[in-house]
Amino acid sequence: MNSIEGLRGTPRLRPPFPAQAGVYGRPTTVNNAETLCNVPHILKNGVAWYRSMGTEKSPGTKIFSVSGHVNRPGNFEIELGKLTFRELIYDLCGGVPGHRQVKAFHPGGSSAPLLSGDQLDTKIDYESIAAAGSMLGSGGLIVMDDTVDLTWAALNLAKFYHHESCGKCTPCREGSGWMVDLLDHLHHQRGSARDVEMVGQIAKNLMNGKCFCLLGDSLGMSVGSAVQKFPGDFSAHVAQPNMGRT
Amino acid sequence: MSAVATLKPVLYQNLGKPDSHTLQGYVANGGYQGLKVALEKSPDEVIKLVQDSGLRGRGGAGFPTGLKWSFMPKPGGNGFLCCNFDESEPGTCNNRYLGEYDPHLMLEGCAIACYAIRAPIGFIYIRGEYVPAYQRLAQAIIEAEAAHYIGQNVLGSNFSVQIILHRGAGA
Repeated sequence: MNSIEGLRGTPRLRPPFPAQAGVYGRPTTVNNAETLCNVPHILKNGVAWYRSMGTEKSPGTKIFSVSGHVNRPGNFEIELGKLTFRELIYDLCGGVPGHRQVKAFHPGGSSAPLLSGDQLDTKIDYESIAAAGSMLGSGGLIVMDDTVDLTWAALNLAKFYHHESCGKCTPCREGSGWMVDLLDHLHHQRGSARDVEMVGQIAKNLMNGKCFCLLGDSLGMSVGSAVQKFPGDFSAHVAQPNMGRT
Repeated sequence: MSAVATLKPVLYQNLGKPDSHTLQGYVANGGYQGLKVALEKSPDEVIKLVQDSGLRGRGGAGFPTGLKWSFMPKPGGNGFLCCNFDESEPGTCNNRYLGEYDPHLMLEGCAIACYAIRAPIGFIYIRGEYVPAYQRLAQAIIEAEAAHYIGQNVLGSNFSVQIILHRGAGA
């Protein structure tokens, strides 16, 4: 909304909610482009038709952008609640290259907490993914196979969020920077066990609504889930006493 | 494999059809029918319909769309709609093809939403890097205005809506 007014792109304090005072102080509704693209079809074909797809609480279809370790990445529109991630990855996307195993995946974009390979049988709809401990998010499925080192993946992610942080609130601006520093240390085998702990702590203190907007929370959730679910990947990077750390 | 075989695209149904990004192509595929249906109803009825459909926001939070629309103050008439087409989360690129191959679908959605929430102006905030989608949407707006699907007195009704395409600057 600030960007439309020509201001710096920073989030606004709520309340007032956009429906009360949004762009230029007037009532505003903000919708995602894909959401609005559903509307003409609903009007044209009716509610019953729309409800015939998907589940009771997640009607309709959702487009998934599948990337990462799959043989056929791309956009796939699927009916909600019908497929599992296993079917999406193995039947629609042609499986994982080299018949390797799925180690972890972001079910709904990089902001969604990681799910591990043994959660592939989760159904794809809002409720099932939430029950599995993540969220459907924007529908960007990122698949990582067993060759991926999650310290590297987390570092990559942290760098993106650090770059994208608008700097308005401190936990996000500073937290994302510290996250990059710590993960970079770990990635280069210079970190300590304390650093692993610290990454987890920052993730915890970044999230839980401590940031102004969802960007910082997203980073916290993503990296937090990685540290929680795959602690081995991080502790493997702790420097050994004889590795030249001064 | 059976579940996969039964999948039918809805949002992506026009992708790959010839001229899907033009007004002619969109109307030939049944486009702007939804807008006609909407204009026969009252704004509140449209909101009710979207609420009943159970549509949830696809941006990430999954908030019920009809409920969000119902928060707009009444009688309104001075509000805005923002269509968030600034898709920039790592790993997500599904909106991009909607904008490039079905820009009129997005416009129709915006027009219906503006009608329902009684907003005379709708912004489409498009990611600055999406140049082809921007060009096609800009062209689509010109075509749709000429054909009175948006603009003054949409389809001969009292409803007027202006759609403004706003390119992001990297925010």
